[in-house]
Amino acid sequence: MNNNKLIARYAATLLVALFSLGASAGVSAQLAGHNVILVHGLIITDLLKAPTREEILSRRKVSDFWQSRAEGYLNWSAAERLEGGIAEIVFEQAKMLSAKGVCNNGCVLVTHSTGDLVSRYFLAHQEAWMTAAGYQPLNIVATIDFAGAGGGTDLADIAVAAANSEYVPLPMKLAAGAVLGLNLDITDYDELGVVLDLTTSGARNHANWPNSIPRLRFSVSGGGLTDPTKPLIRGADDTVVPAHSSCGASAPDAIESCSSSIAYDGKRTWQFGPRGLWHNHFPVLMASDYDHFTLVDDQHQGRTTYVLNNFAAGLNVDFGTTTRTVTRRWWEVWKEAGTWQYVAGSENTSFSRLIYQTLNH
Amino acid sequence: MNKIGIVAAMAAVLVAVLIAMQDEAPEADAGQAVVLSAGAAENSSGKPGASLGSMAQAEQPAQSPDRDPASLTAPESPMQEQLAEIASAYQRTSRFPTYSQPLTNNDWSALNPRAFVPEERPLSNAPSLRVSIELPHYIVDSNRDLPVQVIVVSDGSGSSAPPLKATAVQALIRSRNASSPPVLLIKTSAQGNVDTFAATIPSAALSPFANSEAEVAALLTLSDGQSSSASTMIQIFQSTASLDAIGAAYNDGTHLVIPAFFQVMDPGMYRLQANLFTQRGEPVAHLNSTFPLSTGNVTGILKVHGTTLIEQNLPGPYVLTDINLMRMPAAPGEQTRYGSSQAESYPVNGFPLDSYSDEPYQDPATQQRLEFLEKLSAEGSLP
Repeated sequence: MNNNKLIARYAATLLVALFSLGASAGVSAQLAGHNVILVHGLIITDLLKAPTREEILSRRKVSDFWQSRAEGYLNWSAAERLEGGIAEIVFEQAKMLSAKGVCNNGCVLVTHSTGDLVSRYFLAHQEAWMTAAGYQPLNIVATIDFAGAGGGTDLADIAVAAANSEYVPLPMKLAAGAVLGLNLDITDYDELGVVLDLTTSGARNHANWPNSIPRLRFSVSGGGLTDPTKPLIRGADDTVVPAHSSCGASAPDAIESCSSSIAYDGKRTWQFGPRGLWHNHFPVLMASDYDHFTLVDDQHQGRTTYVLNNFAAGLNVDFGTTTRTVTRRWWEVWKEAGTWQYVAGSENTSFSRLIYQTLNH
Repeated sequence: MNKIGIVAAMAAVLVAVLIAMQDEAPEADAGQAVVLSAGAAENSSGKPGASLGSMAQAEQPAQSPDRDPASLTAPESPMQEQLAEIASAYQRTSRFPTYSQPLTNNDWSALNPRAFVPEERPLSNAPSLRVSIELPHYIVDSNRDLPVQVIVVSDGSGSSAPPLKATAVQALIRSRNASSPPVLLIKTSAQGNVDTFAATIPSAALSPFANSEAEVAALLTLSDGQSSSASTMIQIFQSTASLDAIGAAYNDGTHLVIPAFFQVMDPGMYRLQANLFTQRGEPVAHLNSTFPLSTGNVTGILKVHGTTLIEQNLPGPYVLTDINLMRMPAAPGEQTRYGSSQAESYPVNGFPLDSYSDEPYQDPATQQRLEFLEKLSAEGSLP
């Protein structure tokens, strides 16, 4: 690398750091030289009042942090179905992005929650649809998936079972309904919109064939122990989505981590991890102090750890990292012994900013 | 624990707290000192042990079995190292086309097409009973009978009264506007506190619900006379094309080419996903091809890239199974439709591995994606 490039890189880093103090104006709307397109998650108010087309198109969601780094949006309404109104309006926006050439140099999709499933469905079909409509398909180089719901969630299973049924226990019904923004004493499944696509079986059967776009997964397990939804979700969860979904696990197992050797809190220990991952799905970072919603905000919550999967069977990669080791004397009954590993800088940098800075170095 | 044990434990905690206060938090009160040494000061989750106390970090040399002295030396950019591993993992998968990926026993999603994931839930009016409905698939052919199992798990009453049980179970298909006649399930096993009921819902009960989502409902009669129910969603389809036969496979120099012959009821662009195994049952490849089918064009082609076979040293013959035929939506808003297969599996002949070209597969689109991942993992100034 020549000196000019090095100086430019340091200057860019410095600028990012300066603007991070408050204003987001002036931050590059690119990530590693590629435009960023945001795909938001489930907006619960859609289920109570369906938004108009104009309201959908003018949405600015995910988080202020990511909005200030985005060049485009693929918005959608939770009142619609994946293979219905959602596919149509995402396609409409994709055609506009294609006409403007936004992704000619390659775009990165940043998705949150159900945006994972919406993106997977679009990416699986866009080449055929865009070509048939006379548009260049969007050139997507990778996706960054925060709390991806593409593997479905138990909450949707409960919501679907509860709709119209008096035999689903009330606490389950209330908890699922609260998260989904629904009174689940409904008589019409149409009122569930995209929630019908988010059941564990439903989500996992949508557009699940191999795709060559790498999907970088960022998964968290926070949320209070008193959170009513946590006991309803099998395995680790972020209060809305189970780990098997956000990690990109091939099987809907009740896994406790995206890795079988690292816990969400960074402890190096055996974990019930995924036995396999979906094609080209790569869990990158985990954290135990962020929940489904806070991981896309620029607010520090706690430390972040590496997933450390052996992506190739038999290849045992031991990444060096920042570690801390604790031993316990016999009388130190409160202390948990072990070795923890963290991403350097995560002690004071938010999950989203850490990812952006690292990927955009 | 006896009283002496409790006193000893309390004394140990007290000693430890005092030591912690001296070493770590001389100005804190006892309660704060305990919290600090448990590490919660650095971690907002409040979970014990969710992070480390600084006292613990300072006082002891590491003795964890995980400890590797080399790993304790933080490299300049560990996250870049992980991203580099992802880049090389992506490079490995990109050596094989998406239509012919190597298959392993861990590829649950590929091995379980149209998967139904059962959910177990308590009954609201009998919370000691947990019920799950088990079906072979989530996407169900309306022309085939549907086997249904209902598993009822009793937590037991914990008292002298006999535990609540399900005495009779019926199953039916229903939607907002319609309901099929119920089918009585037979108790097929009773092991401990788990009762399994089974029956087959005839295809005639499914066909009115073709091309829609519907509920499979289990209606339970309980031993105390109450009624209850559980339900789950499925998708029921009317087949749009049928895989009738597999022709003799041939070698085009680069691929093992498997011709597939269909009966086409609804023309369109089709996707055929299937798995290739050796005759001994070793997984070989997950195949995934698209092709147009119409009444005048009833042949589709599945291709297995030679590298997929060569790298695993599996010359065949093979078995093709786990067939999932889909009619792709031609435009956004259109629904995916589904096809069927006459047989569950088909034999596929093989060829000597040295008869395939050893030219590697290359896709220009993956190159830019790989470059992106490699760029992310390039050494930078940040963590």
